[in-house]
Amino acid sequence: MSRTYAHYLSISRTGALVRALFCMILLLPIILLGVSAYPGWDAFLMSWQVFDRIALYRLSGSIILACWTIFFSWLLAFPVYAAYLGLSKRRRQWLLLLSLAPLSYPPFGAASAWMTVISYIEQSGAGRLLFEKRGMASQFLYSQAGCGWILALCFWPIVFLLLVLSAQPMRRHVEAAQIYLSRWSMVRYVLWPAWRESLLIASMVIGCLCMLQFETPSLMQLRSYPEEIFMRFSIPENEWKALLLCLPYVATAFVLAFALRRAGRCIDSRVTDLPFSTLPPLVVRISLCISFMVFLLSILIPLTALILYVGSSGILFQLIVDHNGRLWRSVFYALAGATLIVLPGILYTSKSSRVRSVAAPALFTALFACPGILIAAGWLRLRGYWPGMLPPGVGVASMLGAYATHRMLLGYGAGVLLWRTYGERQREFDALIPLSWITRLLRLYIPSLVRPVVVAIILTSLLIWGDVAITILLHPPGGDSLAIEYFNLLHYGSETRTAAIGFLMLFTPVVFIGIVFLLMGFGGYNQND
Amino acid sequence: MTDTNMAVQTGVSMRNVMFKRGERDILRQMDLYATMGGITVLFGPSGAGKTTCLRLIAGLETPDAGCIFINRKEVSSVDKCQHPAKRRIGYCFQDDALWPALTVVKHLSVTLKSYMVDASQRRMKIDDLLHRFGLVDLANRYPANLSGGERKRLALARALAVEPDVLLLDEPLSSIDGPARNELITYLRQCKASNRTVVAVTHQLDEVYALGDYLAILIEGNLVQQGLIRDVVLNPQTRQAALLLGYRNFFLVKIENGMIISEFGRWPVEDDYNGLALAAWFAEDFVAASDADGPAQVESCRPETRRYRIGLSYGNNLFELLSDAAFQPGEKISFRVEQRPVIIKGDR
Repeated sequence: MSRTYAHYLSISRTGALVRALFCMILLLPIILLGVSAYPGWDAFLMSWQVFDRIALYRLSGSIILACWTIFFSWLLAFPVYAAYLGLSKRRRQWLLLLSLAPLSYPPFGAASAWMTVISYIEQSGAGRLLFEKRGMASQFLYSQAGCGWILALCFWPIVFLLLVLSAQPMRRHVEAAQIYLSRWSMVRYVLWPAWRESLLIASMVIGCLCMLQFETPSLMQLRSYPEEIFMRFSIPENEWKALLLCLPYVATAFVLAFALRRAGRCIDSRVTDLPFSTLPPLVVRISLCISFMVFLLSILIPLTALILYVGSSGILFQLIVDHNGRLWRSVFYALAGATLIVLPGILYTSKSSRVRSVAAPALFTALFACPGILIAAGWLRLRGYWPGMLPPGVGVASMLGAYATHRMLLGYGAGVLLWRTYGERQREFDALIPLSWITRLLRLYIPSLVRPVVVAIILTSLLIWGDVAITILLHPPGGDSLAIEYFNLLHYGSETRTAAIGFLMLFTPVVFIGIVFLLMGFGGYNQND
Repeated sequence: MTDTNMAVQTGVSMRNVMFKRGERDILRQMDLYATMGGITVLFGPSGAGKTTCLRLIAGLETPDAGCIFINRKEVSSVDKCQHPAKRRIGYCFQDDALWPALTVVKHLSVTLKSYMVDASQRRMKIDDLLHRFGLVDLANRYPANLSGGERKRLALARALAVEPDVLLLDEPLSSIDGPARNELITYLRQCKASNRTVVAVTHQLDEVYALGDYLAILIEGNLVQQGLIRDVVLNPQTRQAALLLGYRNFFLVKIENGMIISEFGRWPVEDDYNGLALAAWFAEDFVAASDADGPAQVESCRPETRRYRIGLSYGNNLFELLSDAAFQPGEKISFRVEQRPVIIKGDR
């Protein structure tokens, strides 16, 4: 294999040591948990019985749920992408912004809203006629497919965003295809190879997120594998068994990381770049109609249900006053956690992308695929070793650390993407200028990358915003988040209060993202005009 | 010649075409006529709008005013834009735009399939193209594993696979040098056909001579001149065009009774005009001689293949000439003019 200057840059021993140390820090809580939970050889041999029929049944249930979610996510994302291609540049940016809204809403919130909507429809006159006799709507909603549908309504933007990113560097290829190829050949030979990798990555991410879901299935009275793990963790002597139950996740993650080690080469973070006239007008019009339906289902209907239950703005205002601290705390957790994920990810990948090993992505994928509860338990164990010596605030720090451990794959992916956008050759040239590493970072890299970094932090923070598994175990006393409160209220609270918090959960990130995007000039970087 | 007559003879014509990007005018009132059976080279500095011109012809952009004809049929205007695939166009992009997921042979077969060429003909055609462009041994390679010259050849083969009426070449020789460049020039010259219009874009003068039959000069979105290469080169209309075409020495002369009168000599000219005019010479038209009392002073001396390019100041003028001997900067020399100048009519 030929070696570039970038290769020689990448073999700095200090850099390699720092990266190895970083990986060790991420792994330390889980190693500690494993060591402390190890039950001895005899018990170890016996503990494999944990994979009994019930566990396997639940595992298969979670896999089926993930498959349904992936299928529905593709189904919802493709028409929106087709509509996106038919829009002008400005409108494409608005569509991108709007597509972030479903991501910001925790799936269990969406499930709750849809359960309300369905019960309302079934109780109403027309609904009773249509659904009650056959019980179709409820039957569908409370099945794996129904749960998959609800999750897909939250996760389809992942497929959509990766499709958008994957086709960005394809402009010239699409233009050439417009001249030489039929539309079908263009899709098959030019666009599909670019989409394929994105779809694989998106499916992997969605699959992982679904396999980790215990809040939504439990709310919809479906048994799931993570719930089994959660239950084991709640009994101290069963920790080892819970750890063993996580093995399928880790094994799958390693297989996926190896299978997808070359994927994602076509993804680029430039925005709104594909030519306007890729699709025939009729297809664009139909796609726009379907997209409207998708947004209606994933944002407007849950939002309307929540607003109807809240009833008046007074209640909402009172709730904002009551939960002021919790609201700002949640914003802080999401942003600080995302920063702790994205910035180390960017620094980790700051060396040449050509010489990336498969080990790091495999490790990050495995951590991403592990249930949050396992990582939280590891950090809890780490914290428990030095209970007397902990300064105040370490509770929050360990929680942020657990977020970072769990989702470092996103930071890694963001880093790879951003450096690719900055350009390999550009970085090699920068390295020839006699500037210190820190000056180069401050003068060259940060000014060029600040906008995509902010976008990456916002996207990552959306996944932390609705987190329950880690926060519920690690939040400091009196320091819970809005998502925890929402999750608790869904089980034990009044409907009005629950709906009001749900509204706040959905609305806050959208407003926040809108303001940040407007202040940043709305993604106006790297456009190839 | 009227527009109608031009349209009959031309393969591609652009009439009063304007194109804006944001507030910036990229092309202004462009009237281009590319002749069928020959290669028309669009020549101009970077940012002049050459590539935009090709994209408009291909249908990848729509003009803001004016219309574009291919083989006398209107294909683009403000409210109408025929799809690129229906224009029978071959386009070699500057960066080749090869499809990364397809091998060399797949590039050709997929393109031909899209144009509904049946299987037996397709096979023959692919074989022919692979042989013609020296791609036989590379048939199963992906674009990432091809050299710059090979990629260009594949782009050209793909463009010709569809037997296009119009072939558009965007900087076809850029980033290629040495023997591969000469080889590619041969291939490009082979693309000419009696019923095909070829439009190439370049900003290198040597490529104009290597490729072209006709020349159109584009400066800042304005088409300043077009015609047969020799006609254009020997009759530049503006000082900018003359500079682009390699004229280096400009001097104000007087035209009187069919004679060019200047301090360097007198030459007959077929022109009724009387008065001052700008005359232009190539560097080769001046000959230098060492002379300690000479009127000109050497400013710079750069070696070229066999000769030296001398920059000299003469009064308030700066001239450039080629000399067999080297001179030191600051040295005084004399010079004489051996060729008749061209008169730049647009700058009278």
